[in-house]
Amino acid sequence: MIATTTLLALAWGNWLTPETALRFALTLLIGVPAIYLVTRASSRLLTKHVSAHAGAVISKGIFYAGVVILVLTSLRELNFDLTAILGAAGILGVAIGFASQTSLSNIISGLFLVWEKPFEIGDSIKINNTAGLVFSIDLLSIKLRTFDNRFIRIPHESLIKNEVVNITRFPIRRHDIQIGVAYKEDVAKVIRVLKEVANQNPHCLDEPEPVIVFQDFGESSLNFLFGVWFAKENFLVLRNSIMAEIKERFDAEGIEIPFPHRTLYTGSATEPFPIKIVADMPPPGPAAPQAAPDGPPANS
Amino acid sequence: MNVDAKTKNFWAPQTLEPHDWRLWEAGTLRLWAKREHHEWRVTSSRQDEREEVSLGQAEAPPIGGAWRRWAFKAEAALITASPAMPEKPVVVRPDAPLCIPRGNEVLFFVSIPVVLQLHIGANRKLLIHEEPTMILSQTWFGNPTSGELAYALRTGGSRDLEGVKKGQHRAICPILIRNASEEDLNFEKICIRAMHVNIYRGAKRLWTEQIQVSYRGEKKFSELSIAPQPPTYEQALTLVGTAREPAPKDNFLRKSFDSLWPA
Repeated sequence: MIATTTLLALAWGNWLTPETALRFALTLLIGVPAIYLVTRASSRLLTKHVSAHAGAVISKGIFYAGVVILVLTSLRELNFDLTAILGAAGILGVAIGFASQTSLSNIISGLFLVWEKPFEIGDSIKINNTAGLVFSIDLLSIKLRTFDNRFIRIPHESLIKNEVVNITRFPIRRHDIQIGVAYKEDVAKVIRVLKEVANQNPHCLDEPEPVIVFQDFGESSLNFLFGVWFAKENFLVLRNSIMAEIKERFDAEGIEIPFPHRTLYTGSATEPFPIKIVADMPPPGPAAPQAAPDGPPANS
Repeated sequence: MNVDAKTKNFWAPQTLEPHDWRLWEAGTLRLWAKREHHEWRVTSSRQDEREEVSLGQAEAPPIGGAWRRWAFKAEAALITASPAMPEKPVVVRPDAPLCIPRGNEVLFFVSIPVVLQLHIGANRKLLIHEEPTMILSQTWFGNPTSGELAYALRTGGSRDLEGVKKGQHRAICPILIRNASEEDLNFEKICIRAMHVNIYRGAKRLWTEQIQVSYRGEKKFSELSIAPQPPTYEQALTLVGTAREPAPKDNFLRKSFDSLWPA
């Protein structure tokens, strides 16, 4: 504070005159609200004509350009030599450029994302193992709100480098369910029952038709893929209802959903393990103390 | 009570005292409305489909049912049930793919289960609740990236009135399909924009205005128009339900046909 006052005292009368001070103050008084108004107006205008992502990036670009112009104009009003400042800014820019490569990379990646438009604010996306709703799209990163309400920041550079899955881009989706039934079951009956389950669930779309594929002979089961189409907003209600209905119908039709079976054997050349079924075994009671084969009696 | 008087009463305004209630039964829907002081409560359940509608106090509201409540500043004693068309388009699939040669026109009747709406106050002033009389399955009309969500009617349309599915909770929608193109029209499904039509009560059935669909070619949208007058299959029709979305005054264009086999 003292240093600033001293500097102003020294400057006063040299290059800082009442006239320059007035012009500087006027520049700030007009410039700051002007930047605010132009940014706000452009943001409103852009949201009507371009995507939210592009609008956010362009608005921020306008804001930062306005700030740079205001700073340069203000300095000129204070009679600074802008040529020297711009020269210094060039050198400084190179230094800053080296220091902020990551940030610049994120900004440029953000511009590519504006061009590609892989998602918009409000879309559900998945990047690596992170899934959530796009909450905001900023200059350097996007912000996600995960389904369990956590806040995650993902730099634009990661979005360019990694696979991004837009879960809600299209209005309908297919939910695939892997189902295993016992080897004894009739395949045609299983397919018929699955079709009926899909027909009776109001959230399953009639068209596109459900996909039922007999996939393979599993270790312990015949494996089916059951894919039902649904409107994207019905995901949870469909998922819960269809699983319960499959179980209910399979139980009603006597179709067994097997748990994994394991058969132990000791090699192809050996006999199976001998198993003896003993009838009328006495119920297990408290174990009587027994003597060791070669030891003394227990109660001795 | 004859059929006409019964359905007339079903859609007529009811004045209830506090703590009084009514049960509307239509299709698979059972809908109870109960008046309390400065408040209305509504609950519902499902049953097997019935062809006739009924209004009364045949069964008390279920204990512990999921009630929805509407609170008002002033007392509101008048409640009216009215039919409405589904809020989404309805896709009808004929029993077999159909071909309409160029220059021909064909009239179909489609029986669409209505949505039951409850309004409070005179002249159906305030809509408080709506529920479909039948739970219709959903379907997708168009391609997976740019189509639209619709309801699916599994019982296709009929070319004569006797063939349409009966039920006082269903509105009969006459559809006139005109092939105005230079090619034959082959289709498996037709999408009906039922949200644009009003519903009228006749002595036996509910009716909507006739929808005319002009097919103009495979690559073009069909031209739709709604008849300005109610149909004349029954006399003395009374308007009981207004269109959700008023139809444009002029003809309008929409995708209406879908086919899996080449035209």
